[in-house]
Amino acid sequence: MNLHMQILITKLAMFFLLVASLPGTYAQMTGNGYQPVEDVEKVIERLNKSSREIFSIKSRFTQKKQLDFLDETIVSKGSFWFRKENSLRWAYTEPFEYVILLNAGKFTIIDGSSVNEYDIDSNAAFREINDLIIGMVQGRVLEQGKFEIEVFENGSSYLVKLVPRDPGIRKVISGMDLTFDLQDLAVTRIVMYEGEKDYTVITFTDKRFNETIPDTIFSADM
Amino acid sequence: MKPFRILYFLLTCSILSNGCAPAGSLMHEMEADLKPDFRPLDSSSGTFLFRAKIRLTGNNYTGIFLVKQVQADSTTRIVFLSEIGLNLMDLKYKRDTFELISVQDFLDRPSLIRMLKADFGTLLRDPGDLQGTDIYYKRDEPSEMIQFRYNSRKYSYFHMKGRGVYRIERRSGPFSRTTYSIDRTGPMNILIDHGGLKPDIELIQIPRIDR
Repeated sequence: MNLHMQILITKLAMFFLLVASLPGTYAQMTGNGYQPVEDVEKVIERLNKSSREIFSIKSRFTQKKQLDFLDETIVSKGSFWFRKENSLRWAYTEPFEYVILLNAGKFTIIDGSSVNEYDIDSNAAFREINDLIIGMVQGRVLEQGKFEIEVFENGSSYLVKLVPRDPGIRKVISGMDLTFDLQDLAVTRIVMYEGEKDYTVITFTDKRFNETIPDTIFSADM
Repeated sequence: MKPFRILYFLLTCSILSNGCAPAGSLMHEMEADLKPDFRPLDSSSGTFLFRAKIRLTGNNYTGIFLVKQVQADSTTRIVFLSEIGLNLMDLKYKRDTFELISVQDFLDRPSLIRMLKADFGTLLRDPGDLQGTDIYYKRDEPSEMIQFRYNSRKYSYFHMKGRGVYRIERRSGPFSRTTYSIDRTGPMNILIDHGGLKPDIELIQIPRIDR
């Protein structure tokens, strides 16, 4: 895997980790009725405070890809596990098995029987991921200035719209929508936009917080 | 001198083999109902979704290829997606011509794009539609084969009843050969071997696509 590929994967993983590390359980976004929040800083502080109280997350996810010319939706499903300080397993089970693993200074991709492992310290981008995770679990991510942020509210949920400041990331993802349940500040849905009509929606179910997650979950041998 | 004679003999055989039309009849002279469908991927028959593995020396790319005919303009779109659903490359194909719609920087390599265009052209093209090209047909039970020259390349498509097209060879000279092995016993599996140090591509069909 060359450097460009590593950087791309890293940038994509950064989005995953940003998203996956946010606490939450869910409801479907109602779609309309969102109004701009006046005190954005206050909302972000609420979200970050909630994040700081989480030491582990386990959840299932459903990913739906929509292309402008396609009348079908490409659906993938899987599970993810996160444990402080920086252990993550993002595992697709349908339509095929594919795992992104981050643990103990290693970035690992498990593709069927193929396992590719990279040292986080071997690449500046991997280090950035690591720092991002730590920042996330400590509640600093939305304060780090990596995104232009707008916050909306509709009485049942927050809609946080993020636009990457990094032009490199913006070429891959033009923006993201994160929907948080207003009561428990849980992420209910993520939308990653690529242009006007192509986007990916990830929804989470069966989310569990602060349960003990064994080390084996974050091992490639699992 | 013996090694040089052997080398000369091999080269001569290769050039002769590559240069001569195979024994057989012209396909255009065949009865239409006897002509099997030699098109490996008929995009008009639905949406194809493939798990893709591109293996290069020191570089491995994985993702998903989506092949879909767009009814509105009769084009076929070939989109390479990452596992997390992000667009990596988008090609539009119509009447044997490709248009690059978009590509991520790390994949924006002319040799790779050229290779993918050649491969998907080989898989999507209906040899029966080629105008002004002599297509030679040979039956060798239970196999049938067609051969033709197109764009300075020589193509051989092997077909078997019940298996469809199961092998394609594309030659662009005595030493450059690409083979496509197509297995439909389970989900369709296409293994593309470009020979030498060039990349191998494996496409494994993903049967399920939800609406």
